[in-house]
Amino acid sequence: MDQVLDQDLVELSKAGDMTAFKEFVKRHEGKVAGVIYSILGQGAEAEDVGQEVFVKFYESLAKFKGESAPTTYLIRIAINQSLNEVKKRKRKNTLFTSIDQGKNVKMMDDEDIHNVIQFELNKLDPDFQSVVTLRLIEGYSTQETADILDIPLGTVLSRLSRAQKKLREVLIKYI
Amino acid sequence: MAKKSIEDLLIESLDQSLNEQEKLQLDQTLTQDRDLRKQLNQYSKIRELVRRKRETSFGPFFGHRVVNRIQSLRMEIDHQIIFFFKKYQLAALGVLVALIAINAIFAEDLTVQSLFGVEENINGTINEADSISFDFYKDLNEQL
Repeated sequence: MDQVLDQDLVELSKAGDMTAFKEFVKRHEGKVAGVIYSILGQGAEAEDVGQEVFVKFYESLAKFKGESAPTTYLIRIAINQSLNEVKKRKRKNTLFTSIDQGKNVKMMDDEDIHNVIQFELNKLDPDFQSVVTLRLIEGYSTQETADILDIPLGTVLSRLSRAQKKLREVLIKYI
Repeated sequence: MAKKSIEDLLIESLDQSLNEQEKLQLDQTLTQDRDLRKQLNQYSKIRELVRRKRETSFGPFFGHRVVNRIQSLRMEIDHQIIFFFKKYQLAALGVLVALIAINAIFAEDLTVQSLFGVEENINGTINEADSISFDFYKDLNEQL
């Protein structure tokens, strides 16, 4: 199974081979988890969203024509599902807010700073949050980010620039 | 294309996406501007903070759980389809029973033909003109 290409696993899955699909999930779980945890933080919903991502990918296999790499399409679904979950939390007012904003910066440990970053990331516009997640957190190149989000490279650079300016305004006291 | 600000050049330099002219412009400005160098350092640190290592797994047997969910969804869809048609099956059965009951009420004699609404002649036999030939193959052969 290790030698089988992603494209071949996708074709086998389309034909109903669930073993092939399980192998595809195993191969790409890490990437999907990385994206989801970056946007949603730790929590039970993260795995629910993870499952949704792969279920949606499976359901759309019949329409998948192979114009992009399977992983590009998969990560695009992961970004969209995660941002949908953020919107839901905003509506329910349960956005990640467990930070002690009154705490002295010098008293903050790594976990506290990480919580602040997660909070500030979730406040970003979804368009900015997606480029920050893919480029800065997950380490995709700017071109890969553009391919996944299906936007021009210039737009990625512009959004990254604006997002980092916003983040600097709020995180400057922590650096 | 609008001219980029020095701050934009600074940020984009971290993605190595500047052309030669832009790199030269930024280098010259950085050499002379200490605050700009400090700003570059801050952007680098923010990137490091944001890039903190995160969990990259949903726990053991995740693939198994995904496949189980897909199979449960399929079964649910199959049940919904069966249930959808079941309603119409029951309705059709109800209509058939009602028609048989109506025929039974208005029939002079209770025979199988009368229950199904087949017309009979005075002798209680079926009119040949009303009977339907089911010898399909005979008809087909005659046509060929």
